[in-house]
Amino acid sequence: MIEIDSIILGDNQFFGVNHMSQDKGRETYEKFKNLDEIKKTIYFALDNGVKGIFFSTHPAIYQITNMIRADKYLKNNLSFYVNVPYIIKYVQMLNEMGMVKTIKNILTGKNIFFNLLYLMQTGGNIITNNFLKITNRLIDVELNPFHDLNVKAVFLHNGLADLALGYKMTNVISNFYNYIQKKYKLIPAFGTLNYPLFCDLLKDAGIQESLIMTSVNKKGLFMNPSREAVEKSIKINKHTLLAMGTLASGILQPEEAYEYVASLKKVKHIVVGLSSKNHADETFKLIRKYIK
Amino acid sequence: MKVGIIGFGKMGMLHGALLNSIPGVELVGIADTTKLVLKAFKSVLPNIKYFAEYQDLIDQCQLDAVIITTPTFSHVPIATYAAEKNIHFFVEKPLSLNVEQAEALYRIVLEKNVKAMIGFCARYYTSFIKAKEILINNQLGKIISVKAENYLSDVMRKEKGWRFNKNLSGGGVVIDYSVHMIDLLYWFFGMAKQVSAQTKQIYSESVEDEVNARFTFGNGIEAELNSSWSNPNYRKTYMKIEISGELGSMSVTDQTFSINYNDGSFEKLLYPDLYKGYYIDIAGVNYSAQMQKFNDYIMKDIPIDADITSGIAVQRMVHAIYQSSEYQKPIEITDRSI
Repeated sequence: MIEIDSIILGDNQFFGVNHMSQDKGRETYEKFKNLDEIKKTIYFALDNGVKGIFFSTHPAIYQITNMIRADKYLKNNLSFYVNVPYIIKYVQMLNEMGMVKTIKNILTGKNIFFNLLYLMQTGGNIITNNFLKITNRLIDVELNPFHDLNVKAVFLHNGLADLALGYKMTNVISNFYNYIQKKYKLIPAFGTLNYPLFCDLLKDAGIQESLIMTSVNKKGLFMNPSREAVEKSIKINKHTLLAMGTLASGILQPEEAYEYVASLKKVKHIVVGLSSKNHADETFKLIRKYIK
Repeated sequence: MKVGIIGFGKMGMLHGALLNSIPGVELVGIADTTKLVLKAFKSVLPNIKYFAEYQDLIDQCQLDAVIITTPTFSHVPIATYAAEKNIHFFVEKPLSLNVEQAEALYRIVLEKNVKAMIGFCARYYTSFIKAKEILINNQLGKIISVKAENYLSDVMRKEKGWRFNKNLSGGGVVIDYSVHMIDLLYWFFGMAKQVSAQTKQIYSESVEDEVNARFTFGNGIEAELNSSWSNPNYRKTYMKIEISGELGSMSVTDQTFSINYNDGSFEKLLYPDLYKGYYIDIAGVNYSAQMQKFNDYIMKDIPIDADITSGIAVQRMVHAIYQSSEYQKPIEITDRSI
């Protein structure tokens, strides 16, 4: 089993992501627009023994990581789990400027999202037709906000990982795996909504054991092709699982939800959101009660 | 089934990945006019053939079907070329720039007896499928009112590109985005008889960003549609349709379903209740369902309802909106029963 924190604080609430309701998403987004609120939440998690924190590379990520770097206690105590790339940003770019300009922007760093410092380090303007080089460049750019922080694992976003799965691009998967391991000396990891199929893809890519973040909940939400098939696949594969969506977008009661996760035996790691303190004590206690 | 993708942008890429995950489907070739895209993918998918011209893909690959995910202006020319070579096609919405173009394509599709599917992906949300069932079973009784909303914060400043050039896109939010909700209205209530509409430009110069339309359907049902792609409150697409009838009312979004009957009974389903696992989920299971249907239509002859007649009907409703807005009067939509 790959060593990671057992409870990891998720970031959906900070960026207004709510699969159930865009209105609720907006509410939490408004609340966390204030960096102090984010800081308070992270402190609260730390006080409750939760040291792992999961971040997508949202356009606002620099503000948050700058805030954390400026706070020694946070900087020294937090472990980061980074999800790359932040897909929505690129989908917006694709909508606005089309594929060619998007790729060129990624490569040359012309877009506001890309850090100039990084480009100076790498010499900038290298156009390539090689998809893997484009991906690696993207990873570098996306990881830049986390410099000097204790990053443990880097996840390939489920949107991209599952797209690679659709095309059975084993080369994309093994390239990511090797790049994160060799260049960054970090744990390479993958997000997926299709756990059984993704395990097959990893096998084809020659990866027997990896860290995978996938949906695990009693509702079967985002569990493809079915909850039963995912349960079976969890049993027979060796991968270390980071369970997401355990509350099925908040529709499940925590007790019921974690009891189910615990019943799967092999699931020892959970990424969990924290939109208000009210439920947090209970949530952490329950997770610790069930997930050992 | 041997498939080719024409137009390898984000939708082409998605449909390709979904189809490639269905057992028995072989993705043979990709055509795109941009060399950078082709070269980048060739480096990771070397077993697929790449073409700059769609004609070469169609002529050289012995395809059963093509997926057409190019900008709107090229939909009909490409679909026509495919149909003439007896190749089935899936074409993204909107079908065409205008009604005449769509009707010309329809004649070729009939003559060549090819199968055509239009990318009306909203029909595959479980919530809307449930709503359709309620209507088919007449569970709300006589329909009294219909209110539809369709919002996104996609265009928040003056933008460039083919979507904002009327000659290439056919129009703005109505033809490109609200068309999903117009399609749902058509799917639920059939062809509209009359429409009265106003469109509004907010950021775009040559196309509209917002629309308010009132449809009257054959059975006297009236439906109001409000839609915008410049609504700052919706990061992701938002579709909502409220239908009231003599026996109760339902409110359905792309993520939720709720129905209240006058006798006090009700049903409320949230996204997790409505989610149904599929062979693969890449960007939402409604897209997975759509490609599964396309495959089953071509390979197993299982009929679909998002066919070319739907494409033309929706196109008529779209253009009636444009006419009504331009002439500032209600427009009768004549059913020429294609």
